[in-house]
Amino acid sequence: MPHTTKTTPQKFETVRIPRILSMVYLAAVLFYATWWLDFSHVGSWVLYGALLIAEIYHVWQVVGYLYTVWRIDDVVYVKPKEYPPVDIFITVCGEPREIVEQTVAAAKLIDYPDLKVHILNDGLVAGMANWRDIEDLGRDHNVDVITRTTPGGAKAGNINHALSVTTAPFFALFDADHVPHKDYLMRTIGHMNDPKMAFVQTPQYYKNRDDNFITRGAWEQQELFFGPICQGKNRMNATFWCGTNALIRRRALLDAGGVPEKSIAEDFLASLFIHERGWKSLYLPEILAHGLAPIDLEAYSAQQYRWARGSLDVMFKYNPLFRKGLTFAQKMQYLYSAGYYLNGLVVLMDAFIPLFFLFFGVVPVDDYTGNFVIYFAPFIFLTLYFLIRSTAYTITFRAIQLTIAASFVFLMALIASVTGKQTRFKVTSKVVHDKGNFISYAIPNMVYVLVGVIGVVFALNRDGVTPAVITNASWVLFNVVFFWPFIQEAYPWRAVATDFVQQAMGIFKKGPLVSSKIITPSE
Amino acid sequence: MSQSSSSSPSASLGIIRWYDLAISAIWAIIGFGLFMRVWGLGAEGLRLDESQSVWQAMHSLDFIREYMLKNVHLPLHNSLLHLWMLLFGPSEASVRTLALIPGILSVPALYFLAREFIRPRWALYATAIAALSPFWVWYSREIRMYSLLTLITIFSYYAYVKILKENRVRWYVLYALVNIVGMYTHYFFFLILLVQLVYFFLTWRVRFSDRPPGEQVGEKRTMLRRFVLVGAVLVAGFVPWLYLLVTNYGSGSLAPILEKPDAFNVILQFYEFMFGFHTDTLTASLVGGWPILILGSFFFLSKRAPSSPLILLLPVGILLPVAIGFIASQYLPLFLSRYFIIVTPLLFIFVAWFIGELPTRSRIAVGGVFLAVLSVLLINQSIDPRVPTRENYREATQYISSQVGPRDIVVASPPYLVYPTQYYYHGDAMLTTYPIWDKRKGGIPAITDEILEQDLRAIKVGHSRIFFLVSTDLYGSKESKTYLDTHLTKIAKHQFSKNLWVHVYQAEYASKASPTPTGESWAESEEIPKGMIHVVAPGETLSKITFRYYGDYLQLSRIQKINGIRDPKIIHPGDILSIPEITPQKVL
Repeated sequence: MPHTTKTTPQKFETVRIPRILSMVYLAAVLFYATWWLDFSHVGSWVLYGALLIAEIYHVWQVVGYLYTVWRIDDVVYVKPKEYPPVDIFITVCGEPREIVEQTVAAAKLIDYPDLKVHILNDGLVAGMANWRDIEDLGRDHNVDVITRTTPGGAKAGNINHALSVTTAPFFALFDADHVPHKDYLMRTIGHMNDPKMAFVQTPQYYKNRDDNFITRGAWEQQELFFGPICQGKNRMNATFWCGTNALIRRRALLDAGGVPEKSIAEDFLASLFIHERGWKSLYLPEILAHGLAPIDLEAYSAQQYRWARGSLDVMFKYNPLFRKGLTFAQKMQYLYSAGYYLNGLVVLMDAFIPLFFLFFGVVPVDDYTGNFVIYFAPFIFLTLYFLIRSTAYTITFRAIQLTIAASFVFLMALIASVTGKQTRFKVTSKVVHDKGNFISYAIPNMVYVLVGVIGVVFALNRDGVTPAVITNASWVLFNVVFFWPFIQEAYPWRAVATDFVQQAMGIFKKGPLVSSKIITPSE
Repeated sequence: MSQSSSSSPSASLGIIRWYDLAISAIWAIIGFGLFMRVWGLGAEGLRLDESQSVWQAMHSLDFIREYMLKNVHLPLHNSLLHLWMLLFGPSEASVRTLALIPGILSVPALYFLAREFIRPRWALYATAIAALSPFWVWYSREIRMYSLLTLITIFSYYAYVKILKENRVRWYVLYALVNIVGMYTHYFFFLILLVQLVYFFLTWRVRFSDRPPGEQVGEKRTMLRRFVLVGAVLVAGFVPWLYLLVTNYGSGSLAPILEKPDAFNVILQFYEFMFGFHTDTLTASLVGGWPILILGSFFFLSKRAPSSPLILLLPVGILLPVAIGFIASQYLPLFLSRYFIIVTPLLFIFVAWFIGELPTRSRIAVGGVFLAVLSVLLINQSIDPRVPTRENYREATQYISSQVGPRDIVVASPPYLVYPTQYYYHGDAMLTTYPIWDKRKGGIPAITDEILEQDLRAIKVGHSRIFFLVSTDLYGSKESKTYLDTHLTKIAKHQFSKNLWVHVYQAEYASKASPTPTGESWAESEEIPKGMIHVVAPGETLSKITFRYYGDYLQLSRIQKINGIRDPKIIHPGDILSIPEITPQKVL
């Protein structure tokens, strides 16, 4: 957990993993891998191949994680040698005025001798209704508003445009809902003493993280990413720009060609170009700004889709393996981070294999269960334990569950990326929908549950209670539990149940009902 | 934070809160577990291993000691049993009570041990698991040293943990006493001492006590000195036995011959620890559900404080003995689940700890379901006659006793089976084994074709039928049975438990009935020899059979008596009846 005291800023704990644990874990991973290479286990080559690919992916991700967190050093505070002018860019595209107002007010309060706040207002070109409100806001708070009039490039274009009309050698970029803390610049500017430093990234923090299941899950995922993963990237100079909460050297960005306007994950790609040009980056694990987590299924899906699509685009169109200028470690790190979003495909491959058996009786693996479990059990238990230790006990089941439940979203992003479809940039919603109905987002998950149940019944009918049926049914249950959050959050089921109970009770009361409550899901 | 689920139900239940309900439920469960240990203690006949214990204990203490030396076991338990039987007799219920007492005491003992690791309510949960554990219940009702071993293990760990926490002389004394008893109970007890040694050095830098940190390393050195002293005492206590072992070993070992374990055996073993013994299909189904266990371990991921280092003792104490046993068994197979009962106390505590660390809602669901499943499995193990560890020697031997005549012979194979057979057999025929074995002379002869041939010849001579009692899962039984099947005519077979069979073979035909003094012969049909056997055909009644052989119904009661038939109306097709010769005096 971020460590709070009165005098030091909140920061992510520097994780120290005992070397022996890492080595034991690596041994368990390799041990597990050897089972798959023994091809005497093959039941059906196609299914076995699918499982093998899935496990190769898992092992890759796991080894990548291990490689990332192998050694994490403290980031030491650096006293700034000088205080150059800094622009504060706040990107706005249709967010409500109240939210932007908080950010602006906080930005003005940042403790720094030479800063200028600019609101980058894309409302006009994006066709948002309140673009004028933003201009009023700027006027009211006496900050500069740069309202773009020529469209193109979404957020990237917005920033590039702003860069063309401003001059400060550094700028700090914040999303409309990420409120910077007073000491933001004082803690970060010192690292720019190093002339090769291109940007300093600080973590995102969700103020509303305890609101509901999704905000909590989303925050816990960020804890994993901004905790051990980003800290580990530091030693390999592989920290990438995360779109908000960063202090950037203008010259470095322009040297890399500005913010790329063709990609939906412009931040990820920009860092790639910046690293190619030989610049350095740093991750500072101190919480210096707070923002808002996606509050419902729609917002969460949109966010995950955007990140997935962007990263996968980078992997396919700008594959780090083949680009010059990056170190080996950087290539591995970019691939590893982008590759994370392939997990949707992999999870689904794994989830459909037991269904194959239940419906068609085809077994991928021909082996009495015991042998596999001996290889798999140490691997999976040590993975869980390693996660627990490496995240300083902050990793939760919810975080992993939410990732896996979003598998269909990732799959769609993958398909879109491979086919090259154009996606409209959608702003992550920060507004609470009343009595939200997001069933459409949960439909694939629901379908899986339904198909799974039918499959189990079908297989029980066909084979009776055999160990194979039980194992595959257990896997289906396993997947259902992981897919569940989307179904749970798709609709206010509990409200429906309580209302129903109240109505039913009402029927037995004497006298007529004063009013009948009927739920109408609002769009 | 999410709404606490306990607020509204308590309102609707009034004064009774869920928590109290849960605690009461757990006490009820513990009571149920204790009841299941006691209920019907003598109802089942002694099993093979049990009857061996009883046989050994029937002899003098010196004999016991000698015998145990050769038998890869330690003398304490059977010596105790010897004294017990002097006081309480050898019936099933009374001998099993000797195992029952530590079996019952283990349950509260586990509570106190668990309290050292986890909070009281979860220690109580661990106690519920222990009470319900079908594995523990089984060995509480088996007259062998395993329930005693479990209790001693708990005491040993208790003293050890207390030493780590308090470093007081009284705990060292308890530790030494308990370990001496343990060392003389079972060889695998030494694995516990090994675990404790390994853990001590693993946590050399860890502070368990409440003393200030400055004293800590000094404290560890004191502990080490004291442990060494205790170790010397233990070694001194064990040296006499070691001496005897070294000087006597090699003179005909009676060590069990087991198979090399593979990975699957390890998994099966843990399933047995948790769920007990069940039919193969049920066990296979339970094992098939292993992804659920993986899922359960995912639930474990939640925000928590780091666990106390004492918890580390649990996985070390569970995995290290099994790992060592597994590796050693690749060279000298000794991988039976009951030997590893020493890990079960820590295993139950570990499961209780694990469930206690789950997020609140999962905790209740998983905890409740687990106890429910255990209860069902306990009942199944106790009731289902097809459970493979159930051995029905009593019924098998009683059947033989009722069927044999003085000219038959009863053969037990493998030779160990003579123990339970002797305990129950009260028939007229002679009892021997195959291969023929004289217990007091030495080990069981190895099975070779010559031995099988010459022993069979010896068995056949002068006997009409061979009643072959065989346990097909034991070493050597297959060869023996196959040899008989190929060299003799089988008359009947009857199954008494999963692996326990009685096969009846024709040994020799008796000579024809000698002519009566009047020179007339009796039977309607001369071809059927009298004084032999008759296999009941479908539709036959006892009176019909009697008439067929003797021409009248006078002998019906005699046939009934000789064959041990209580109700003459109840005979079954396939039953073997002994038809006695009629002596001349009875001729009309």
